[in-house]
Amino acid sequence: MRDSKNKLLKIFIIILKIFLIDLGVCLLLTLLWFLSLNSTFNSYVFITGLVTILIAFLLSLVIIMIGEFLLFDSIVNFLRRKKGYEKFLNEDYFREYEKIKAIISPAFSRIKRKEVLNDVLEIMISAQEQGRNVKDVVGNSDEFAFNIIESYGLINPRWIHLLNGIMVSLCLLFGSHLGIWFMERMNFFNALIPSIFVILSILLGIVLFIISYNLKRRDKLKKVRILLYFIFGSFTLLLLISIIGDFYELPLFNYLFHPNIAVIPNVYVLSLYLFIIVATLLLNQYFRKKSLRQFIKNP
Amino acid sequence: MSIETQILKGLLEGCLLKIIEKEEIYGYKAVERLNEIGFDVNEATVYPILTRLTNKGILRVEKRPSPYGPDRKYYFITDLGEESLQEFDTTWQHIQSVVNKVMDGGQG
Repeated sequence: MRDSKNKLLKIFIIILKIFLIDLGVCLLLTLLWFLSLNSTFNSYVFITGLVTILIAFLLSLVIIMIGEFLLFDSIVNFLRRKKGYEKFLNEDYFREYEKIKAIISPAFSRIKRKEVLNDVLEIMISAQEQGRNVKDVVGNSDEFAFNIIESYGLINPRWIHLLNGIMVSLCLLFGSHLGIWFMERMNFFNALIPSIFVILSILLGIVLFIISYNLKRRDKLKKVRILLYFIFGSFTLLLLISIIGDFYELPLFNYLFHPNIAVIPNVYVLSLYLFIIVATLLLNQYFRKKSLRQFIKNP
Repeated sequence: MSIETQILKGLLEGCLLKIIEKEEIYGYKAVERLNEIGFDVNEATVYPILTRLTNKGILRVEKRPSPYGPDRKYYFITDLGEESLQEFDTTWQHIQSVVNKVMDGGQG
């Protein structure tokens, strides 16, 4: 089950990387588009376009390689440095500690998280001093982390990830509406946003949830990396579609980019939006701070 | 969760309470004591139980400096904990006698 999940994730990551490669393609195509006198199709533009795509593809590949091996690894090493008492842990213990930390962190409030992680550190450092093997101490680190969360009566963190996904989608839709309204300076409820914005906003929320849900047991930094791919990919897709749309003027692209969706058509929908955003925020905080309330109830 | 795990967790809770009633103890020592008695447990099993009992108000915590790292948590039994221990003891005696009867073929 876990293997098939990992395969799916790998395929997902490859697709996102392809989007990143497309970014280079699109940037050069955009340049080409500006250089051409008009946006109508002709063979010169087509052949030059193909050559550009090939060059951009190779360039992007090199950029990804450099990014993977130098940039990301440097960032990962910087963020993975040991802090405070973590410096007392040897590499084996630190690796398991990081896994536990990645699962525990989203489930607790900041204060509680620090306390729980300090407990884990104390346990691990004491055991390490006794010369014990880390696996004999924590067993399966994933289960250990989930048992800790459950011992505080907390809900599974996957609900927090789902709420975060919904929150991101709603905020992006709301932000798009505000942006269009501000730029067009029209009546607030008359602002229309392009369908592509709606699709991408919902998609980003879903992607955020899928990534958080599936990678909750893994290094948090992998999530950051994949999210970066997605953001680049989204921009790429937008650029690509906009360029193709300009070249070929297909009705589908016109539909996608033409402002035609009223996300907030009236005051009732606006109220509903604000209510859902506030409710999502409160629910999120509730799940995180449930342990603190439990302490207040049973001091 | 298997029945065996559930039974073991329940028994561990009771035994931990008894150990903590006798002496002030921290996580690692609790694991050591349980293993000396004959359980086969590690910190990953014991720490969540201690946390749950603390959150229920059955145990209270006192932090003291540790020679190795962050402050060490020492666990003490509360009045509610004493009641829970008494309850566990009664339940355990009853279960033990019932199971013994069945095992000795005394049923029916």
